[in-house]
Amino acid sequence: MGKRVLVVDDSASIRQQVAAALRDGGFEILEAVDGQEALDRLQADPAIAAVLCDVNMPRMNGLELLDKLVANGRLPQLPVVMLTTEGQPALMQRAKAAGAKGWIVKPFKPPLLLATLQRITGC
Amino acid sequence: MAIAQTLDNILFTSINGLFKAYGQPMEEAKNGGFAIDGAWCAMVGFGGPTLSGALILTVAADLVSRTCQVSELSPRDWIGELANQLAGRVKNRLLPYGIVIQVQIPVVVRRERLAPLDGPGLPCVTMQAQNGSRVAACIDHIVHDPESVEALSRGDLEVPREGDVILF
Repeated sequence: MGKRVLVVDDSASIRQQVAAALRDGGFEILEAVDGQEALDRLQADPAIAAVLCDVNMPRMNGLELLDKLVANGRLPQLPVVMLTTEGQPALMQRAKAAGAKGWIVKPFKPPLLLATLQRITGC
Repeated sequence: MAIAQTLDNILFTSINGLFKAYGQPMEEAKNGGFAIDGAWCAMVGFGGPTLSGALILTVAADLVSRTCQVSELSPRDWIGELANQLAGRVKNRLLPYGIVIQVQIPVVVRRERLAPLDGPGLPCVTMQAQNGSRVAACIDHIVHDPESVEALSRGDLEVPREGDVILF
């Protein structure tokens, strides 16, 4: 079984597209619909090797999730890449300061996404 | 340039870029109009100190299917995501003009619920794919700060392009 990647997005279509792109590289995909569900999954599963996370989501957004992961000590060790429509430099700086490993603006290119996950997880 | 014209130009290039990214290059529709049956519509509200309003996107049902690259398609979810990504493009292209908006979660309805979308006196950008299937979109906006948009000009702020991977 490949390394586990948690995909966090409120759009089921995006989660399915990401899963299809990463399964080709042998990753095992877990899904969460918002930051709160992601936090719960991460607390229950220490084997998750990386997180791909949207920014704008209901209940808990991606930047709030980063703050929670800093507070509970998972960041900066856990590689988190933001996958979002946002391109605001200020938001990117905030994610970087919290310990995120990268930022991808949707729509993503599947081969680039796979290469990025392989790089940050060492696969 | 007037804000309405700037928004129209941004919307035009954003629709083109978005659908091209999903394998469906578009061109401007030769004439207006949009079949009411068999299409999906999504609305994304936005707000900010300068500008607020809603982006309304209508896409023919077959285009919704052909742009989604996964087999288990939920048209309602996917048209919402397309509208979200279109709003994101518009938002990012407004940044160099000094206009910052916050985009809300999309709301999706069937097209027939919004039949007057492109009626007389309600301009919208209408584009078509190679098979003639259409996309229409408009930005219904309110200006809160007329002084700042009167002298609207594009600055040199660098905003990442869609598909870019930026590793920190």
